[in-house]
Amino acid sequence: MRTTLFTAILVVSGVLWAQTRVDLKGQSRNADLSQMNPTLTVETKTQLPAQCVQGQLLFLTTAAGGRNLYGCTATDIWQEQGTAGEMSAGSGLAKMQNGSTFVWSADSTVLPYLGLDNAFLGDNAFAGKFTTAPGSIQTVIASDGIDVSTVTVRPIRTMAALTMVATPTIANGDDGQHAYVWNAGLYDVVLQDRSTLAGSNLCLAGGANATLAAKALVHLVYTAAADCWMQTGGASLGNEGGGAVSSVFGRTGAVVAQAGDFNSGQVTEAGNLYYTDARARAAFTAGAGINLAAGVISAVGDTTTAANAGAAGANVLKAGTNVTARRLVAGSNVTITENTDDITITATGGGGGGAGGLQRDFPAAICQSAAGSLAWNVGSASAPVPDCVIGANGVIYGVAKFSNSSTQAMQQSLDLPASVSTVTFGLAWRAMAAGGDVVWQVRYLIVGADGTAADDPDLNGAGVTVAATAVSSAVGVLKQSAITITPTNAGGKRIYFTVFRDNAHASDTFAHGTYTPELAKVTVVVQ
Amino acid sequence: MRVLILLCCVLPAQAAAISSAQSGVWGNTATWTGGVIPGNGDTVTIGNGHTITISSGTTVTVGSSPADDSGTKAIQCASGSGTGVLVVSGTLIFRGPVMQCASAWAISPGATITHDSSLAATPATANYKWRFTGAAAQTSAYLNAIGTASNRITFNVAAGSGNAGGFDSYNGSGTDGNLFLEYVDVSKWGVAGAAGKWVTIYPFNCSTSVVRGFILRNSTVDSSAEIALQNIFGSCTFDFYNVAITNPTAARAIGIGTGNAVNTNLAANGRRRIENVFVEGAGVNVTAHATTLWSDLGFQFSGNYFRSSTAASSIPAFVCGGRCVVGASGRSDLNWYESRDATQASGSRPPGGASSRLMIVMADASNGHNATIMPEDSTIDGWFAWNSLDGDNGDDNMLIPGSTAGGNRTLVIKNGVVLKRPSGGDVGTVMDLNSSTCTGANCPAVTFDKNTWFVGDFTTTSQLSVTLESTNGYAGIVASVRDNIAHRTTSGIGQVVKWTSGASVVNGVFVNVDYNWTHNITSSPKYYSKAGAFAEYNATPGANDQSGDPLFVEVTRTPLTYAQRWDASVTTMEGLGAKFKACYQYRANGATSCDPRFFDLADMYNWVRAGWRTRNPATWTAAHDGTHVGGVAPTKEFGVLAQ
Repeated sequence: MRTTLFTAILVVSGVLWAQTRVDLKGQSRNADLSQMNPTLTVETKTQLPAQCVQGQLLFLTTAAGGRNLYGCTATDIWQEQGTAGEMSAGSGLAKMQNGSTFVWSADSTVLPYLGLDNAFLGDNAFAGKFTTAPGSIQTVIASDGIDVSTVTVRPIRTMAALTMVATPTIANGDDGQHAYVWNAGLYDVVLQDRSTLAGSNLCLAGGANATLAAKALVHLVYTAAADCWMQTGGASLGNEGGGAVSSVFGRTGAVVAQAGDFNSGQVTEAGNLYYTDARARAAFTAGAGINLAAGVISAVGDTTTAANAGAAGANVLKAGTNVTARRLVAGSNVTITENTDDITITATGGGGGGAGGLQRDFPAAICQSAAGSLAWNVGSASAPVPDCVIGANGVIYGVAKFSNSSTQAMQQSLDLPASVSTVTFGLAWRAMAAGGDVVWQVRYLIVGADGTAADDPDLNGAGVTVAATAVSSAVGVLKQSAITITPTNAGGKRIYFTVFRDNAHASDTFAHGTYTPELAKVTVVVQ
Repeated sequence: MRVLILLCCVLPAQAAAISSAQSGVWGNTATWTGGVIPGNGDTVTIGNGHTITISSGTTVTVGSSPADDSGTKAIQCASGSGTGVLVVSGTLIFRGPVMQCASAWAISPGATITHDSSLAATPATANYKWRFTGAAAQTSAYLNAIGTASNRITFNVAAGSGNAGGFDSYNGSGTDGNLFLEYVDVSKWGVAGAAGKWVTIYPFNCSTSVVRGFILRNSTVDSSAEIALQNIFGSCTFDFYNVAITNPTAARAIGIGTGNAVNTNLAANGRRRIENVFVEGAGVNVTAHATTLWSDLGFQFSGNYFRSSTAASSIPAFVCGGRCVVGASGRSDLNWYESRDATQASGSRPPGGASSRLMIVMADASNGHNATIMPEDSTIDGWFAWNSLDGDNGDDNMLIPGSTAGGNRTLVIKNGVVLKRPSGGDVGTVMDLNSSTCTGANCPAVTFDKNTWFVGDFTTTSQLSVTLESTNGYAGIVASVRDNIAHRTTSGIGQVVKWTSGASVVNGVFVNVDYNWTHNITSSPKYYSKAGAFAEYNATPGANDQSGDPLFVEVTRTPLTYAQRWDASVTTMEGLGAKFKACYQYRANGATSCDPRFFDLADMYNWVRAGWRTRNPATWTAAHDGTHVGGVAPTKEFGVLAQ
């Protein structure tokens, strides 16, 4: 059946085109068609043909009703004919009048921007859609990236105070569309938040209703995600000006805060405020002090404090007791450096010795119950003899007695500081006889800090031997001999040093039948 | 006529016998019968119950200056058991014997008691005694002369007087008397001569509740005779502490004996002690009663410095006959016994019992025997012996065990050193079981371990070490000779064990003879065997011996070099003795200071022995139990600090 109907339509159409085409110009004169049955006098089409000749008319069936007639105003140019209801551009003042009262007017500069959608709504409102941001406002809005094409101003006006109950209060907008509802009337208008009015599409500040006083304006932005008009700019509703301040701090125009605008007396002390120097000092001077719970005293730029300036230190109240803060004073060979956040105390050379540097004493022996024992590492066959020196005044110390007939030695070691320039061995010794000169010698090895051969092969080396200048003995008198070395690359390593006496040394002339040189201690100073 | 005149002048001074009328001050007429104050030439009788006081600051001279001690007594009691009391706070010059009552007499701090026989016919032999009671078996006679450090009491003699007869509690028929002296200085008391005594105390009936006996503390005694104490009964006190006895006139400075103490029930505050006592020039003897042989005397000997007389055949510095320090309270520690008789055959006898830190020294140029030990289950642990003279090659430094009571006793000698003689001379035998002191089973079983001795550097006669002399011994009598070091300075002969060729010791006499260390001794074998098969030993001796240089720290150390280290001017033993004497006197009377380096014998003992520490590590484990050999712990145990 469907095939049959389609075939029939095709047949009828072909017949009509072939039989109704009439040449009126050639076939009639002054014809009267008024008594004729309805006649199609204009060509009808569902779309505008691409080509036409001037004067040709066409009825476009697919156009909106009343706007169907098109004429060919020039070759191949169709133009809608008989269009009505749209303002045309022009100059002058646009006004809206309610009776004899103008309720809205617009400067002539507005008119060019009123688009096709402009319409008068009721007798007291006018909705307009700006197709382009007007004037100077355009720049401000554009900088925020807002689509200015969707800004809507909705002035409202009532004859008495009114609470809006219609839902939706404002027709839903496009996402991101701005709307300004301006109470253009003289009475308060209450806009209801959707939390209080079912069906309201207003999301007002704080979920509360907003009262638009006369001339007040509320700024709304439609948010599709929330499906409501969101109030912006907080809960306060302005009137877009009014009550203007003529000047700020005596200055007009764009006023920017500058020094001297306020004094500290005009600032209420609170947790986020600071004492001024003058006020803080005044508080200290008055003895009131400043309570610090767990804070930090920051002194910037002022290095002259009471403690440094005078003999008396500043009093700090601590649990009811005054504690006097004392200043730090660098002693000899000590440097105090004040940094941004701390103070660095550095000992020059690492020690506090009279001559500076790291100093350590190595007693030759210890004395217990009148029996001496060596306090050094020794070999079993070439060790000096430990003994005691017990003074009649009660002074006791141990000594190591070095043979007059053979070489005897004893060894110690010491970790060196990171920086080493010289190492001095000071030897204190005595003899109970004036038998000649004694030459003390030191043989040293400097090895890695852990003292292993793997760390420093020099551990297996022969070492370096240096001799002190010969010093004459005197009966019972403590003598001093000294040896200074200048090792290289010794910082942070360990020095093994063997103190020995070789009686065969050319300059060692001490030879006594009973007494021998007695070493009391070795003082090592590292610079 | 001339006679009449003489009578006229003498009569007012004629001696009178005056009795006390009541208690009171000597210088008060009311004190005396007839109102006459006794004075020079008078004699006094103190009535029962009367207390007569010689006040401080006053001097009383009394007595008739009889020819000798048998004459009229200057002061006496009403009877042998009288109860009169004399208190001396001032000065008492007695010119006749004194017989005190059976009561407690007192001499106060600062007082002076002067013996004066200058007016006797022969002052030197008029030696008046101070006796305790005239009756036997009295228990209440005390003389308490208790001074203070700042107010000492003086016992002396007057100019021109002979020596005082001394205190005597033995009245010929019984005993009594207790003498307590503290902070006193005594001079010229006791009859001069070998047998003289300035103290003879026979305490009687010592009990546990009352201190009885003799006390001498913080005192000096000079140029006086012997202190003779008898009756060493169970709870009697014989206490010497901080005493310096110099220039004694008798053969003995102290003689204690004739007792049978068993060291029980000592009275409160009672003790038997000789501590920090210096004696120079005489001997000190402590001997138990012969009839109760070897009872435990329970003495404490410590810190003493005894130097005998230099006279030939004098008494050794110290002789203990018996078990002197055996008992609960007994000990012997840190004592110096120096025998100075250069011809002396017998040296000091350390006490039987436990001794430590013993220093036996002799200056002998002949065949002296340094020490004879009464063994009695004794131990000498820590000692050194030294002959300070070079002399012959005899048996110096010989330690000779004595006989025992009943046998089956032991003697242990260990941790000792025989020091070198000054020039390396032979030191002789170090331990000698000798028939002269014990025979057969009466000899103790001797252990001689961990000792170090210098054999001597003689090339042909290097002497014996551990030996038997003139005795065949019996099996096991030498229980152990182990872990010793025997050495010479130069290579030469020497042996660890040997005995005289004349003795044929029985088999198995020597037990555990092994693990000894020798140095520079070339003899082979180093152990004597008469038949060459070591049958005298329980096993072949020396199987585990070692040899080599022990590496002594300093072999030149002797007591004399100790003194020289501090004071090079000390070159003799006399000088050494003077150093120590000064300190003992300082302790005794505090009058003068002394060199503190000679205040304590321990320093010298330690210093000398420290020279004999060994540094050869092999010696540190060479003993039979893996410990060190020799008489001194090695260096490693003295705290060598390794870094």
